[in-house]
Amino acid sequence: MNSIASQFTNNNNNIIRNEINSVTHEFAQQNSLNLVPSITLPPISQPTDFLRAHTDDETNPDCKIKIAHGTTTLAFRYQGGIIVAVDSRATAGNWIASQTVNKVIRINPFLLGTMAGGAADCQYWETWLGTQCRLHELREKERISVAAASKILGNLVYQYKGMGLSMGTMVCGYTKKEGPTIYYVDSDGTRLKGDLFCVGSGQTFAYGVLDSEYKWELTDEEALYLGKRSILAATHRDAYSGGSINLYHVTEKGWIYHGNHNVGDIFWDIKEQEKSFNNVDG
Amino acid sequence: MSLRLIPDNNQVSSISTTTFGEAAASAPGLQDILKTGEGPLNLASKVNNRHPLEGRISNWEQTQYETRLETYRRVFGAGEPIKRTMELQIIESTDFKPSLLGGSDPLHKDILLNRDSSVTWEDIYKGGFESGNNVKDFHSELENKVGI
Repeated sequence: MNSIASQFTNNNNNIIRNEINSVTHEFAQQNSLNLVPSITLPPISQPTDFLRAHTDDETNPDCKIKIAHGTTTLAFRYQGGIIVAVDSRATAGNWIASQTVNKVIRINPFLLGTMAGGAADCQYWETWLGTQCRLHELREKERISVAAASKILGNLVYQYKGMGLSMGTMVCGYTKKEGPTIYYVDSDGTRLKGDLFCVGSGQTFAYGVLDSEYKWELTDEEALYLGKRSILAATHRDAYSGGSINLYHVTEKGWIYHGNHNVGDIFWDIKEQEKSFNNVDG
Repeated sequence: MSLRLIPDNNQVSSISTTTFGEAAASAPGLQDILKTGEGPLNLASKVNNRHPLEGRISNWEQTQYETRLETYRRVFGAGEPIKRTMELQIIESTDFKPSLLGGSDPLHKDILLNRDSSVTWEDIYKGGFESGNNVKDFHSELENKVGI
């Protein structure tokens, strides 16, 4: 009854004061940590096209905001777990933004997410996925399955479909009930389970090497070498991939980081060791 | 209080994954798909291609009602709007019939809102624009009512 009465008292009469109060109240509220970020929309008829007009390189090469794109990432399953190999170059439009980007996001000690497409999208949403996975663990008292984690990411990405998100990511993990599992999640909402995926602008080059040498019975060293060699092939031919190679091995005890290999150095080592890349003058 | 003739535009100025539905209990960052029963929600479809007047027209009844109460406040004193709002609230809190069984009988509300001697489109299309496809299930309705 009090709340009804206070609605109609003189205090609430001043429109300007109410407006100011509501705006400051809105600003004050944003300090709280929400489980989902909220995105402000421009008050036009097609709000989702506004950002796309300013960031989409393909439709408008003169756009002012260039999103960091271009990469090669791969992940494959074999008898000893999962190998994840990524390059480390980020390009924004026509120039190289960085040669030392970390494209594997450690969601939790048993789950890895790779990053291809828009760097900001992948980083932000995979970290958000990490918080959701942790909440799941706390609620259910057991680790989240890779299928559930990729489903959460896939559903979220579908909600933002058509609004300019650009990410092609692989969620890789090892759980007891599933074994080693890789899910490919796309910004279109695609979610595929598979044994072997290469994602990015250099994916075709990596597929070439990976498909010819892959078998389930690889040993750990052979598998690591195969991942490294596939990324090397992609960085050699794709302009948007390069820098260095980061290797991860996911086992039932969690992921293990196998080092950062600079492409410029190992290229010559592998060329000499394998007697390949013969069109390049040594 | 407002003496408006033209309703405010309530176009969404900021969205998140939970603006168009409630968060799921198992995945609090996403909307509850099972409860709404409509499948994964696409935010762009709720935000793009809206008629420019839609935000205002959906507020029409409420705005007219508020203007009327404000004039009563000015002419007859604060007691008038307070009494009317109180009576409406009494009915809303004591009436419950699940929408699965047809929703509560609008008899009392119609009398209070002076709608008992007229038949309009709202009596035929009871829920407005967005209803009809998904009738709210009994559990979520009761949860809302009781305030869980």
